[in-house]
Amino acid sequence: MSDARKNIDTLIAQLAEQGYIASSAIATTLYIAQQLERPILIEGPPGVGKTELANATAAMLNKPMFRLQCYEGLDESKALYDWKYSKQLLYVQVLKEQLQEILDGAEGLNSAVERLHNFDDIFYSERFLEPRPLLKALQSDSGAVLLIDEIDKADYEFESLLLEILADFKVTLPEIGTLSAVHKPLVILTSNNTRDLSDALKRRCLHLYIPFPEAKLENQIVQSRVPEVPEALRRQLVDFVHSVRSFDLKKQPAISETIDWARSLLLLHSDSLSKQLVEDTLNVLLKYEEDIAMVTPELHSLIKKSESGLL
Amino acid sequence: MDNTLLQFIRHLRHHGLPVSTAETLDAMQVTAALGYSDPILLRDGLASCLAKTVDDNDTFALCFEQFFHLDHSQDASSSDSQAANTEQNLPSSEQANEGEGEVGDGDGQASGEGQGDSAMPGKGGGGGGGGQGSQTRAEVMRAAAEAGIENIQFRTQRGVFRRRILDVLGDKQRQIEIQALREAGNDERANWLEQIRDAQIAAVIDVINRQLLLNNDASSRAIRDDILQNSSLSAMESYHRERLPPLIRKLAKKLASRHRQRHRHARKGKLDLGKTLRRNIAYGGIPFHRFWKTTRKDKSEIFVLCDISGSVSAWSRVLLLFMQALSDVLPSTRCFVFCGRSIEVTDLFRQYPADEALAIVQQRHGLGSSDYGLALNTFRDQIADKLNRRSCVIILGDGRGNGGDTGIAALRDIYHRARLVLWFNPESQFSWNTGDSEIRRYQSAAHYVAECGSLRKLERLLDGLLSLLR
Repeated sequence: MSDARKNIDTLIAQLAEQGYIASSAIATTLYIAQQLERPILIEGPPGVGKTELANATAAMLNKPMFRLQCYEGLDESKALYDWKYSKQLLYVQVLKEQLQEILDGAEGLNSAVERLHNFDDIFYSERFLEPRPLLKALQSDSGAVLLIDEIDKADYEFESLLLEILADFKVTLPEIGTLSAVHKPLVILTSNNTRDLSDALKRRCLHLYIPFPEAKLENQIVQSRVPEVPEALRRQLVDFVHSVRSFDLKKQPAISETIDWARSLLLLHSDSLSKQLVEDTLNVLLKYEEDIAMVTPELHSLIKKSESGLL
Repeated sequence: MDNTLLQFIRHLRHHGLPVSTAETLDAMQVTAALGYSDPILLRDGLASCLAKTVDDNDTFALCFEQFFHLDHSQDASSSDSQAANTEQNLPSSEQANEGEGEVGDGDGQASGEGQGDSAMPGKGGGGGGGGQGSQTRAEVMRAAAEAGIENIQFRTQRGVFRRRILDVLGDKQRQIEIQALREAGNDERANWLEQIRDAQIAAVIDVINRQLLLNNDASSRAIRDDILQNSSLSAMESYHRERLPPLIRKLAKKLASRHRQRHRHARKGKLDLGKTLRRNIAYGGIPFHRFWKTTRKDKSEIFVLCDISGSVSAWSRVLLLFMQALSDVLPSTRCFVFCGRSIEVTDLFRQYPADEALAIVQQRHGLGSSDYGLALNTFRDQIADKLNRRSCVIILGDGRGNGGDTGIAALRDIYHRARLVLWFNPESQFSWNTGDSEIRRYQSAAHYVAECGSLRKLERLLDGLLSLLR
């Protein structure tokens, strides 16, 4: 039991080495996923580090990462496998004469077909298979991290396609048969929650919700990502971002935006927030004109607040 | 150990989390990997395999708090066998015993009798002298478990379970004993026994109430939902009406998922032979790339006009909620409301969450008396250029125009242009065409007039509508 705690703490430390500051909940889920060999379904607002978690995990485990970006219309020929048509075609052309030899001396159509039947489906064997990310991850010799990004953007059919892989780490190709994973990959799915995923998919996954982080955690994240920012400014800007999140915005500033903002402030050689500075750089933080218009009148009090939070 | 987990999962299910058997097995593996000692770790771990949506996460956190916190503070004899827990309990029961001894010293006689009692083998709550704390509760908990307390579902069952638990505790013998003592003139001991009994009863009631809280009236909620679906919306108390929105969302989700599936099934067409051949000429006619005939579906647009005048407002509220929830399957729905003029509220519904939007609509446009003439005319003017053979118009109202203009001409215009004009009437069919109801005239200019006074009827109608629109 304290073993588990210890393992999870190591996990947090290892992720931190990769520049990913994980909360305890994130590390716990990752730990369980490794123990149980289950996929993780990560939900949360955009920009809280869902994809980044997969990157950091792959780097931490020192395993290759295969990324599948989902979009509407994604199908198995792009996600799972395809046939190398041109190779097949080339072989057909080259082997034409061999075929002629085989068929030489056959009397009538029936016996010709009979002879052809004696050959296996050579053109639909693994040699002609073009693996796509899902299959690549299953075939990887040393295990892998498979990131299925923004699964909510894919169609329903695609979800069903994933079920077999997620449950058994197997795929069934109609022409060849069932292929099992050499090493079970660690699968991470991310979703922005633009639609409900099917229960069948959810059942097979561990669920992890990553919310916007607390100020303390965000502070650490900025520190690890942009270590050059002086501490005073870092606290101030994290406090500022936190109070901005309390507005009713079209798009809340996420961690990635906080980091971008910290970088741009660093670029401008500033060591504390001023009204002019914030006004000029607010577009790094907020991505909609309406949002900027809503926050601008409050800037003065927001800056005051973040300054007093500092003291 | 697993028993606790199973109880916890029951508890979650009572609160509406759909935990499947597979997930239960996962949860067992998780607890085996993490152990019970670190509550935060346990919470995060279990959450990852039991709570699968963001909403579920909140419910889960609440249930976890409720379940495990209660266990720590109260569940003295719980079968959980949590090592930490029992350790905590042991010293506390010892303390209770010590305390009892001290009290006993205080008033001599009772002490002697108390010891004599504890030597007795009876289940009569012996050791808990003076009805003191945890030991009485421990016994009651044990008895409650024996009486099957976890099956309690309704408040009305409290009496039954109280009796069962008391039976297990040997209450009958004790009452006989008390009776006998009184007859023998030994009032003091009888009083003392009665005190114990009172304390036990209090503890029993406590335990029962707690279990009811844990079970959260799950069955009664299910029954209530069922009744709500079937009962007439206009006759519903406002108390019940407030419980409708979640129910409506549930129904809408059900409809949405059912129809989405049907839609997807029908999408893939037959092999487009011509195109396949043409595109594969480059490969010598070998069909490496296959093309499918797809049938392009033009999306049908739906216009909903809703009467929000005083008489039917509660009902249209429900329908607007339903429509908004359904917008997942019917993305091109436009909503209008009227008392006098018809006003489009589609954007309002998109902008605000359902409840807020309804409040705004009511406040801005609601609660006059209905003027169907003006409403239908303005409605036609607004949508006429959008109406075509794929549009569907739904009008919700009781057709009682207070004797004013009926606007039947405008409705007929719509009727001729649209593919489908439906009129949903919340009144029961018996009261159609009575008083100032003009529904008979509207019937002549609508494809179908339906009565939909209850949620279930509404669901059925919309179900039919959705399959028609496909």
